[in-house]
Amino acid sequence: MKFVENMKNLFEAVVLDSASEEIKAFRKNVFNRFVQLGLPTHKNEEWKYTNLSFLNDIDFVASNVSIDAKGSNLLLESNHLVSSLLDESIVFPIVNGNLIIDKSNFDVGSNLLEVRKTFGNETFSKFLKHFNLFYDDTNPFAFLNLAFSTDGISIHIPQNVVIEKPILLLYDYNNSQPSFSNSLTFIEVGDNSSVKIILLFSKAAGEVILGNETVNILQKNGSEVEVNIVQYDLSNLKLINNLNVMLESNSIFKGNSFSLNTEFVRNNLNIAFQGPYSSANLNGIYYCDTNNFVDDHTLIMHNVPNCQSDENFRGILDGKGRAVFNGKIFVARDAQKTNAYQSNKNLILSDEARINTKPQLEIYADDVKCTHGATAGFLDKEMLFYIISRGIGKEKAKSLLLNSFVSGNLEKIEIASLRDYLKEIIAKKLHLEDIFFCSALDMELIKTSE
Amino acid sequence: MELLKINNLKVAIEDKLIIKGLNLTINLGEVHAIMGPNGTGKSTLANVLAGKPGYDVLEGEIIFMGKNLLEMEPEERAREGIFLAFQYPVEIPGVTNANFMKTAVNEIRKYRQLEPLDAFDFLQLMKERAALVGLDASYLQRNVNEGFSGGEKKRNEIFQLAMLEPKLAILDETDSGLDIDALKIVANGVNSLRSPERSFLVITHYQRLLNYLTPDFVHVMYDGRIVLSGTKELALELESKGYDWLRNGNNGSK
Repeated sequence: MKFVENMKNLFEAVVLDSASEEIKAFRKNVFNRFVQLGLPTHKNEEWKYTNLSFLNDIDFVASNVSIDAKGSNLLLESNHLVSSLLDESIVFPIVNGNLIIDKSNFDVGSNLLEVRKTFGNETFSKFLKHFNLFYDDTNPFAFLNLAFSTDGISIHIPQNVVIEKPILLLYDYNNSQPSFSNSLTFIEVGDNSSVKIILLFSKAAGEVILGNETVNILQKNGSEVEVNIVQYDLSNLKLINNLNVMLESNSIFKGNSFSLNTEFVRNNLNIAFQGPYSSANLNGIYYCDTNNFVDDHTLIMHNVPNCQSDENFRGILDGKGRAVFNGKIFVARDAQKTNAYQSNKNLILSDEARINTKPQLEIYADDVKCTHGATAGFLDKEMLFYIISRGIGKEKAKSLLLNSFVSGNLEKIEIASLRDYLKEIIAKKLHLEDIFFCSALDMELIKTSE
Repeated sequence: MELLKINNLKVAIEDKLIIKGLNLTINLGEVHAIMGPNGTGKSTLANVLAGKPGYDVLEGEIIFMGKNLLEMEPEERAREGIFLAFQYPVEIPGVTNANFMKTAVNEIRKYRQLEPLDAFDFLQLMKERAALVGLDASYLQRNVNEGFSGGEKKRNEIFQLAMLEPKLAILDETDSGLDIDALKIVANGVNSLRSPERSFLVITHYQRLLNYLTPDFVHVMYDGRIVLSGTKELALELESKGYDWLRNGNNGSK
C-alpha cells in the first residue's frame, strides 16, 4: 500500500479523537501539509541518500498501548548500568507513542517542574504560539507527527531552578502488527534554569514499527540544557527522530547523539539561535555494521549575532553498514560575529561499508568565522604499526585506535551513569572491553600525581 | 651469546634495492653503532628488524635468539624482545601513554606467561621509568606523543624502551632534532638501561651521540652495505674525515 494513502486512511480515525474543534482543525491543516509534501524520494536533496520507498510496502496500523502496558523492556532489563541510570533519573516511559504516566517515577508533588499532556487544552495554545519557530517546512514527518500525535509530554521548568536528576524519556516499542507511532514532547526551560535530558530508545521483538517522535525545546534567556540521544540495537524499528531546540539569549545547549547498530534511523537535529550570546555544542557517534543504517541531519540556524556553534560527529562503518551525515549551517545576514565550527570524521572498516557526508554552509553575513571538515578513511597504517611494534596484537591495536576515535565524544557526556553505560555498550560493540578498563588507572594517576 | 645474526641481507622497496648484502652479528650485552650518510639504508635496516610492512626481503636471513626473525609478525618480534625507537614517533590522539603502555606491557607479559601487572605495581613501574628518562609524570596521562616537542617525543621513546625491557633496542636516529641538553638526557637514560642482558643497535648520522653513549663496535654503512667496522675510534675518524672519505673509495677494508 502506498504510504500516503495508508496515512490518509489512518488519519480519519485519529482526527475524530481530537480534544477540541481547534485541535481538530489544526490537525487537518498539518496533515494536508504532509500530503502536499508527500513521501520524499531521492530527488529531494534532504533525502538523497536515504531511501524511504520501503514504507510503501508496509501496511501500517495506528499503534496502541499494548493491553497489559507492562512498561518498558529496558525497565525489565537486568543490566546494572541501565538500572542505575533509570534509578537516578526522572523516567517517563512512552510506549508506542503513549505516555504511561503510572509507570513514571515522577513525583507529582514536585514544584520544580510541571508535567502535562501535550494535547491538553491548556498546553495546546502555548504550544501553538511557538509552532512556527520549530517547524521545518521541508520535513514531511514533522507534520505527520503533529497530525498523529495523540500523546506526549509538556514539561514546564520555571525560572531559576536546577533540575538535578536527568529527565529520561524512555521510548519503547512493543507491537504485534506493523504499526506507526508518534509522540510530541514540548519542554520549556525558564530563565536561568538548567536541565539534562536523555532520550533513550528501546525496541522489543515483534513486528516492524515506524516511530516518528518529536521533541521541541524552548530555552529561555540564560538557560542551560543537555540532551543525550541513545539509540542502540534497534532492529525492526524504523525511526524518525526530530529534535528542535530554540535558544534565547545567553543560553547554552549541549547535545550528544549516539546511534549504534540501528536498522534505520533518521535524526533531524535542528538548533536555532533566537537571541545573542548563546552557544550550542552538538556531538555524535554512529556505528553501523551488517545492514544497519543511520542518517544524521543537523541544522544550525544562526539567526542572530554573537552566537557560536560547535559540531563534532564521528562515525564507524563496518560490514555493509551505511551512514549519512548532512550538516547544514545557516548564517543570516544580521548574524554578525557568528562562530560556527563543524567536523565529521568517519572510519571505514570494510570494503562494503559506505558513508555519504555533506557539509552545507549558507552564509549571508560577512563578519563570521565558519570552518568545516569532513573525512572518511581507513585506520592509519603508521599509527597501527607504531602500536603493534610495542607488542600489541593487531586486533587490540585496532581497538585502541577505535577507542581513541570515539573517546573524545564519550567524555563530553556529563551524566556519569550514562557515560558508563555508553562506554560499556560501545566497548562491547567494538570489542574494546579491556581497553576502557584503563580509565580507572588513569584516574588513579591523576590523583597521585597531583 | 649470539643475540642477532644477519647474513647477506638484501632488501628492496618497490623494486629498488636498498640493502645490498649486509652482514652483522650482535652478541648479548653489546652496544653497536651504525653510522653512514643519508640514504644508505640505515633506517631500512631498523624497519626490517622491527617488521614494518612495505619492505621486500629478497635474500638473506636474520636469526634472533636462534629463531628466524623474518617469519615473525611485528608484534611477535616485540614480544620476543625487539624494540624500535622510531626516528619519527607517531602521535596517537585519544590514547594516553599510560593506557598504551599498560596494554603493551600486559600483552608482552601474557606472551611470556606472566600474570598481568595490577594497577598499583604498574603505576609504580611507570613513575620509576619516567623519572629515569626525565619525563614528568604528567606526560603519562597525556595522549601518546600528541603535542609533544621533538625532544619529548624522543624521551618518550626511551621511556617506552625502559618499560618494555627488550633484549635488543634499536635506536633509529634518536639524536636527530635534539639540542645538547635533550641529547644528554636521552643518552643518560639509555646508559642506565645498559645491561649484560640487553644489546643496543644505535643508528646515527652524527658522532655526537656516541660521545655520551660509548659503543663497543662502530659500523659504517654505505650504499646498502657495511663497509667498515671497528671500535669507537672509527666514529671519531669518520667525524674528522667526513663521509666523502668513503665515497673516494676507501671502503671494503677492515
